[in-house]
Amino acid sequence: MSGTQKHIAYLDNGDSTQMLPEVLEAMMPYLSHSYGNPASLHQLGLDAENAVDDARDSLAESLGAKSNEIYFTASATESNNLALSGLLANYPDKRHVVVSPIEHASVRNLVKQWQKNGIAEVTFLDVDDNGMVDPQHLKKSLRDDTLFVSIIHGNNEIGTLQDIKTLGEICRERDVFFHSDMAQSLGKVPFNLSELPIDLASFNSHKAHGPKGVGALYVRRKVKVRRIMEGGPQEQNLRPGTENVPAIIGFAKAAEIAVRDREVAMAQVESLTQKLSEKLLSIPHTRLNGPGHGPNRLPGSINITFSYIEGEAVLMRLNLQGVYVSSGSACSSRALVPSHVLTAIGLVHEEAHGSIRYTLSRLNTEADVEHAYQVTLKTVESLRAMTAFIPEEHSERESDHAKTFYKKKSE
Amino acid sequence: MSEFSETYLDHFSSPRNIGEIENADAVAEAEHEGGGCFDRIRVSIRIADGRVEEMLFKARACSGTIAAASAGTEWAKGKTVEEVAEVTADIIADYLDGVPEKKLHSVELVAEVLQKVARKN
Repeated sequence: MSGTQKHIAYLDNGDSTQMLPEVLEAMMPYLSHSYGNPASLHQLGLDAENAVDDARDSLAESLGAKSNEIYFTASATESNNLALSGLLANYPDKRHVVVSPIEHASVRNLVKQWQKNGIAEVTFLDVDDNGMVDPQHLKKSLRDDTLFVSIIHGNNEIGTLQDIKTLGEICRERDVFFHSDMAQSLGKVPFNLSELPIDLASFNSHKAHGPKGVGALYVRRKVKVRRIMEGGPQEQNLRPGTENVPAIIGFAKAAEIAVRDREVAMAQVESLTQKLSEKLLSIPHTRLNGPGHGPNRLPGSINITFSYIEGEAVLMRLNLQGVYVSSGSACSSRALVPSHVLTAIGLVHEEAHGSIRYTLSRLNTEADVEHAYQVTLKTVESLRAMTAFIPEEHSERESDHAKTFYKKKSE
Repeated sequence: MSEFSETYLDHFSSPRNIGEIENADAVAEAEHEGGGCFDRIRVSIRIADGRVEEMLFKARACSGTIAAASAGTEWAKGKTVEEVAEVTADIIADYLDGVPEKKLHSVELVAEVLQKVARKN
């Protein structure tokens, strides 16, 4: 951004967060003088190995798991792939899997590929218009040959928080593995893995003010997952490859802080979130996508459809004025495909196209909220003034044309 | 934002020629048919002595189509109707000092609607 100073409101924390200074500080020795490979037998190697072991203990404590249930990976995407492909490789007699229709691409694309190649049968569960999975449908979907159910805990686009306890119990009754992508959950909602009926869970670091390039997979003891890459014996022989030592140290520190500060930090985040959400929804012809703010929604998550305009244009205008957000609009993606999450909860394409996601973190301020609202208001008014395609009830002057246009689209 | 030219960002941020001409000589519409993009545009034209005197647009569209419509209507002013009827996506893309590949659908859409409105005369 050039020239004059301007306020930057970073409201894309669902994509990534700013690393906290304490996290960087913890990583620094391993980015400089402590550079050994944990597999080496000399002192530098042993130092690195000890640091990774300590980080594993620390992360396990933050998640409510045992240390030997935690495997470091490069991302939640890798964790999802390892969990699901690793289960599939280990249980050749079970070839049916169940997922929600609002999974992250790393789950959705994987099982769709299995389906396409005849490797597994896939059931996509029903969700309601808030994205909530129906437990009864899950119950009915389970079969004797069902290998696993995978359901995202906190949805990255619309913030839906699933009742993973109830869903996991249904799986447990039928001896079906239950995996949850919990990439958005860490530090936002309280949980203790040892108290949940979850067999596998995926995490990452950079959504919780840690570094990029590191994730973790939780695998409950006695659950057998086969490695999907060949190489050395790292990570209890499940995930070969030299450990990303500085990132692992940073991840453990970020998780420790996230859990330690969660209650106070999230109270502040939720207060700012609700303030911004109310302001944005006061703009005419808007709707909140996903559950209302409260226990069924991730703190810090706002997804709003601004009717009659294109989300990509909103995003670009906001960007030029220092408000950083994301959009489920097709024009925001290279493939010109609208968000599968928004279409899964019943939005027609026009509504999905006008959607903007604002995700807040503990580092956002009142000034960010005010700036984001003012810039959004001006942008929406400006783009709406440009459009001819507003239905009758919202624009008398344009009514005849709009009626024709919308009728044509619905045929 | 480096993938977009300064000219593109200028036309997107401050689009020219927005509106509708009362008693226009012709009006045309187009919408993006391929993929999931639903950009829609309408242009109206006033002609004097075989040349474009005024051309305005309205659109529900992404940044690319807004920039392309602003640029295309600016380019068209003063051109002969025949020239506008033969406008290509490349001409509009060049006027914007280039567009990224993902916005080619925008310059194609605007070229289409400009051709349509010119050929109605």
